[in-house]
Amino acid sequence: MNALFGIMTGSTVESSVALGPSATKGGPMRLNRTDPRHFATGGGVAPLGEEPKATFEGAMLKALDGVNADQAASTNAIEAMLVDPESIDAHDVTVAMAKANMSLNIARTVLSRVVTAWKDIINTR
Amino acid sequence: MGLFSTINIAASGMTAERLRQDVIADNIANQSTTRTPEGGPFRRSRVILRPRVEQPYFRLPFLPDQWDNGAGNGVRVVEVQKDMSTETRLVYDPTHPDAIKSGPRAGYVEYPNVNIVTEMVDLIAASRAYEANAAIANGAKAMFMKALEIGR
Repeated sequence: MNALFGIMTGSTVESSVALGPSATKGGPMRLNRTDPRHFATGGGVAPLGEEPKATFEGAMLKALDGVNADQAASTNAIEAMLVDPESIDAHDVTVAMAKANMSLNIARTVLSRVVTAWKDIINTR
Repeated sequence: MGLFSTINIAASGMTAERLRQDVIADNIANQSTTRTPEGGPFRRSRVILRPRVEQPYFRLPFLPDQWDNGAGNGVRVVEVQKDMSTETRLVYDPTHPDAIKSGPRAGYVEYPNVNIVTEMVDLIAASRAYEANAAIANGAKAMFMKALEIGR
């Protein structure tokens, strides 16, 4: 269906990855502008090839920002517990810590897989 | 479904149970309160809960992801309601400053409708529910750790 749509409009249709309700705010479909006759989303005509390419580096940096946000939330919760214990529940603190731990773990796993892949490649002989 | 959806749901349950515990503590602390700003004796409170959903429940075959409530988002507190239906406890004590002055119940003091047995049972239920939610959070974390071990 996507391929047919692409033939009909001369564009490629790319559906964004649905990660959850928060990740799918706005339109779930994104059109890559490949023909000068296509209109840009904001109205008017956008230059061709402006679509930023999704790179592994970009995705990784974005994910690390999320990890950092979880760490900051955990730190804030601990600070709130120490400074103003009335303002926060014990389980809020431990849940924030667990979230920070989990997201850091997944980031570490992905990075160690990347390093393993890199070592596999440079050891090719 | 996200990385933390299970933990968020469990955390909402834990927060609700903590509130229930606070309300029970307030009921027990006020079990002999005969005087309130609203007048009359203290009335026991109870917590009213409802599921935390962003929109009404409905299901269609081709419902977009963001309109689907999925497995739900946990629990939220609607209100802390005063129990006005249960009868208050009457104790004969004519020298009490809050004793009823006239009428057929003269000399009686109205004590709150707090039943200590009910409150203790509610407290046990709240603690057990809190433990169950904590177990869910731990289970979610254990599952996540197992997922990270895939392919290692």
